[in-house]
Amino acid sequence: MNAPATESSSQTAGILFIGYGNELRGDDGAGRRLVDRIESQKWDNVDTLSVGQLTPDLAARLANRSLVVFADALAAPGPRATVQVDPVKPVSSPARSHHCTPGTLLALAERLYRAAPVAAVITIPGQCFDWNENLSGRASANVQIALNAAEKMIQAWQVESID
Amino acid sequence: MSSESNAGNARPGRTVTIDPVTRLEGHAKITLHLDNEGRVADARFHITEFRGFEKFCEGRPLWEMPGITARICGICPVSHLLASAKAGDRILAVAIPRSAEKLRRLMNLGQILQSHALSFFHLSAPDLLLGMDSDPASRNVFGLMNAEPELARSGIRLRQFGQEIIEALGGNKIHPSWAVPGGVREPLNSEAGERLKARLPEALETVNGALDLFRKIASRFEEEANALGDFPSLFMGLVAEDGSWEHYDGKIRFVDADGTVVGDGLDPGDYRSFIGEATENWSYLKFPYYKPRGYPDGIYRVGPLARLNICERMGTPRADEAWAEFRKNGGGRPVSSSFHYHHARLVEMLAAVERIGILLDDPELVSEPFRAEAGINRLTGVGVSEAPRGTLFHDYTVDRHGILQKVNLIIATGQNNLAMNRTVLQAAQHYIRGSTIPEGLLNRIEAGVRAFDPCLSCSTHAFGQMPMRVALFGPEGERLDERTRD
Repeated sequence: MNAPATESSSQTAGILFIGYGNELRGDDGAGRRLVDRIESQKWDNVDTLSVGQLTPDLAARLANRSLVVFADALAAPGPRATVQVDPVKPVSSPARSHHCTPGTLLALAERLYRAAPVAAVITIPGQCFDWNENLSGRASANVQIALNAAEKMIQAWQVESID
Repeated sequence: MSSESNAGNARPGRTVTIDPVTRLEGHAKITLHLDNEGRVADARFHITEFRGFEKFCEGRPLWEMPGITARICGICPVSHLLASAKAGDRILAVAIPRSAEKLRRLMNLGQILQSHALSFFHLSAPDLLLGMDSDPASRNVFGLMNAEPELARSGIRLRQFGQEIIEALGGNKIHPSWAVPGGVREPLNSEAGERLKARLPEALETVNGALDLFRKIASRFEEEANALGDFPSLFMGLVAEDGSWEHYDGKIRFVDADGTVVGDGLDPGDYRSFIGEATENWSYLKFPYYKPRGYPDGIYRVGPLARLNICERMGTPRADEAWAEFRKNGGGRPVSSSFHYHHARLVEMLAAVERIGILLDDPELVSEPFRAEAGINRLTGVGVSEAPRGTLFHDYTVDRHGILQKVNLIIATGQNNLAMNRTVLQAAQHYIRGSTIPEGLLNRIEAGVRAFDPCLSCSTHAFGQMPMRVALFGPEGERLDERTRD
């Protein structure tokens, strides 16, 4: 990523990308591949976390962040489905299993630590979710699109923070 | 939340489906088969996700297996990591260094602690503290935070502590490929050791507080304790050579409902001689059973309840006291109600915290070497460890280059499959009367399954989320209605 302005670094400190999914199930690992790419590029003031699933203890990791971006695969997308970036709001929904949703995690952070960062989720359409450690061509292309979108998002966030 | 077809009315001669069962790992559904009088005649706990992980592993190098299998599940990766590394130890035919064994034990204790903390504080505590008849809209972790904010917070911190142990050792807390055939890659650095030690008092206080709380509320659930899976069965798990609680090594012991040891000193590597695996056409999950008693009479339970029923002591002072108190629930026999899995988890968390403290003070933890080097010396190997949910077997066959030819995993949740079905049937028969099913009763049936804290991702290797399906069948098996929610 292009290095952001130094003066904005402190204002963008505390950005966290969380990619989640099962990398053994083909395109389900797309979100994690995205954060691997971000990690390898060592973006300033951006930390990454790659996990199999979202669990309640991650709420503590969100609490002191200014921006959190979740990255997840989209299973069974329509043929025209594209990478999407959507805002995430805290959702006090019941935990259906050991899994949490991004909204649930935000709500946990808000309720337990009285701090909820601004958050977004990037969804990456996939194609093949069979046993496989590789991404399909469609998911690979979408990870690149997601990477570009993430980069723009961080730059915009920095500008907004300066303003 | 659970859902029940036909607007809460269980009509005679029909099937009520609860799908999915909530607050479990993975997804499942329950079907209740009613007779013409509206009584529950049969109940089935279905697992609908396809599995194929064993086939996927064929052709992989043995050395990659701990890292691969650890990625089956985001909740209990360490369990697979250790069982896989132990299968590798057998194939290399090495005795791993003592320091490596202790480091592996430390990681497994961190795993048990974090997993039990999630199960108790976030999935089961809403039922236990808010009440099974409380408003389902708030009978969840958020309702718990309103009612008991400090408990919810301390539960999260306890899970974090377990995760920190895993992270301090493995470097990557979720899927560490740190344990390898022959030992471990790295020891615990002293700075991390001191940091973990500093957190022990808080962890101990949290577990003691949870035990106190459970003592206070247990009497409210006498009916549930009698109706949620209280039946005779065998119990299986690892025990140490001196008969104490074991979580990493040791021999297999089976104890029956009267407390008689029916199988002891069994080599986990010979599991095929005492465990059979039956299949049913309505579930992808196999049905393991104790071979000498046949199927389904060889029903056995694994996990915290079983481990506390088969051992003679916990092996640490506070946990020994808590164990003795727990065993009073059985009145001199093994504790038979699945409801007491909750209590058993708390006792195990106490044992884990105490043992973590002992290990962190052990100078051998940093004594080299940490890994035994060897080539392929055997073509088969079985690794076993106690996962939070019960005994886990990894059985590998390799060629002379160490390439996997055959893989069989026997997962704790699978071993509890027969018992979960029995639990659902008993709970349904106890609570469902006539044609109306209040939500609180449905929740109790689900709670019967939740007591086992089943990990369906592990047992079926699922991905993502599945939609909820609610189906209603007529007496001839015809589908009368179906609802779906994402």
